[in-house]
Amino acid sequence: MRRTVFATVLVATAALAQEPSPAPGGIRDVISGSGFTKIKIAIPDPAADAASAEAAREIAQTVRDDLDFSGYFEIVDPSLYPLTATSKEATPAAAWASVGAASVATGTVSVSGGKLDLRAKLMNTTESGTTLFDRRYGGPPDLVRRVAHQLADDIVQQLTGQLGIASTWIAFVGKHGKGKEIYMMDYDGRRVRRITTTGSINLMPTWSPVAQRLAFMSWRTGPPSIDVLDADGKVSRATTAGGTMNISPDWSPDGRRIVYASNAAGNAEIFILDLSSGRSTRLTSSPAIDTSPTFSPNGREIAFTSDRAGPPQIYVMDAEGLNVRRLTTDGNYADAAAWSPKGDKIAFASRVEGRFDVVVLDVPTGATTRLTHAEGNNENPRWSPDGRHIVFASSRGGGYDLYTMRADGTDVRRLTRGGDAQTPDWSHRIP
Amino acid sequence: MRTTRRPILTALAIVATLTLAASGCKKKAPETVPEPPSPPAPIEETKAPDTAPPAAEPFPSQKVNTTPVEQSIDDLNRSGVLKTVYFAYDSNDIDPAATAILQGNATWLKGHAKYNVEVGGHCDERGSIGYNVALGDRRANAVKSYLVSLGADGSKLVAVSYGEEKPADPGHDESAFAKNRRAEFTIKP
Repeated sequence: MRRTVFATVLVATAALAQEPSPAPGGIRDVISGSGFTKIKIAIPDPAADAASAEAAREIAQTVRDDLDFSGYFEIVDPSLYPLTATSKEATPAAAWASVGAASVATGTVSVSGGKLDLRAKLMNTTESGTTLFDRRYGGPPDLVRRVAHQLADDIVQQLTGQLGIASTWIAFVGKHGKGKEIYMMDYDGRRVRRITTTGSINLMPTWSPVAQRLAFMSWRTGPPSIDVLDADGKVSRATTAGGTMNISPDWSPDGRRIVYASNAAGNAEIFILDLSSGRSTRLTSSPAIDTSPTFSPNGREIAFTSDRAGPPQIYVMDAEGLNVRRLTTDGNYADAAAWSPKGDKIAFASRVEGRFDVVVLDVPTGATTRLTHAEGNNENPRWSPDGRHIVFASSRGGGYDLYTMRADGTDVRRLTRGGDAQTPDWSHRIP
Repeated sequence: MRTTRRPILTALAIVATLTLAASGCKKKAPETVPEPPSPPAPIEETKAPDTAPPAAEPFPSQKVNTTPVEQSIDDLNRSGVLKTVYFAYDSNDIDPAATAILQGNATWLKGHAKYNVEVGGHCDERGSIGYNVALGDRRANAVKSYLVSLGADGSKLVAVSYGEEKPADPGHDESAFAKNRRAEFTIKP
């Protein structure tokens, strides 16, 4: 943990062309409506010499995968790309249009002297081939995928007006020896790296919304306590309220406070820690278990789990601890609430007939939608920063692995295969 | 007096080592019995307890009662002087079986007041990871409170929840679950 754990990534991007005009509003309207048409895009391998051909292939494939995952795009079949070279169309743009692409990202890449240099150009094939951007991306050669993710996010933003998520990370817990350590990986399950070495049990990593910091709970010094891990690998113990259990940390939207559960007052209650003063304030007071608190994105409310009315259910209160009301009645056991980035939905794990499924509650109406359906246990849902995807832990393959799905439960993809991954959290966009 | 008894004790220790090795038991000799300085060759041959024939008793039985001055903490934990109690599903109620066990534990604790003891609260895997940590805490604290009500020194007892993270039985059926919903005791240095 002495190394820089978050693999400090500097992908330099330089706008070569003038800053492009914003994407036409028409496209934005189309993709945000229901039944939108996906944008047809071609991503050929960037031109490269023999030494850089592998990087070129990996960049193109990664960008295609990212754009496919985003849900905004339909990737034109790469087997059609060679036709554009022999096309009789007057312009390259027209040639790409002839294979069905509305947009195309072409480029050149070279890997030499310990540097990766990608120049990528995004072009509209209609409107006589407008160049939307022309940029250079650089970094060390081992960051090929990172560079590709950055390009994919730039394409998403250019063509949809939305922020992409290809450069985000997922932190999670995995078995290591006799313990469980904190790991992280790219959002697509690649580049997995372990970031703690405690020889103990650690759970529930949570990203700070404003920095490359993780809070998590750890048994490394005995009773479960809350640690904060910074990008430089430094671990600091949060000055929680006392007692022998301080668990389930979540950050306030400004990253300055941590809400958590503690038995400092006798049984599990919700507390909030102000990181600058080190002072904790108690928010709940009930003889029941109150735990798993999580801030609403606007910071005004906190959802949490309580068994004050019987089996655990999700409740919500004002951030000052007042105005507690019950949110879920779904199933007989609910935990692990997670607000969507817009705050209009709360995902949680609901148990019915002995199995957990991921359920999403529409906050304004209280209506619930079950997203998984009796394939093992499905728990600990967390949203992607754009609110379009959910990562969760599922035992459908035997042991617990991490999966993603669209916010409507479709397009389930498996991220890990070890059978020992739990409690994921999707990073906010990397600052 | 100790010095004069040492040869006999050393011989006994060798016997004990041979016997324990042959039976595959890992129990350490009591602390008052010194380890043999360098084990004689035959000890090496007893290292495969599964395949080796039972070692013939190399000395006639000479049972001597020894009383350890003090058991090590490891020995105390292994000997199970403080017994584990079990819980019903999603419950921290101390049932009659647990009551009887905890009364015995309280008696021992009162007689050995110098020890710090961790009360570990555990859950089966069916609940959620997060809630189970809080439930394990409730179990550990219920046990601690009951022991204190029986006269044990609360300042020597630390309730620590492990949630579902340290199952006693790794199985996934009801019999494993029943073994995992527990509070167990660890005497600490």
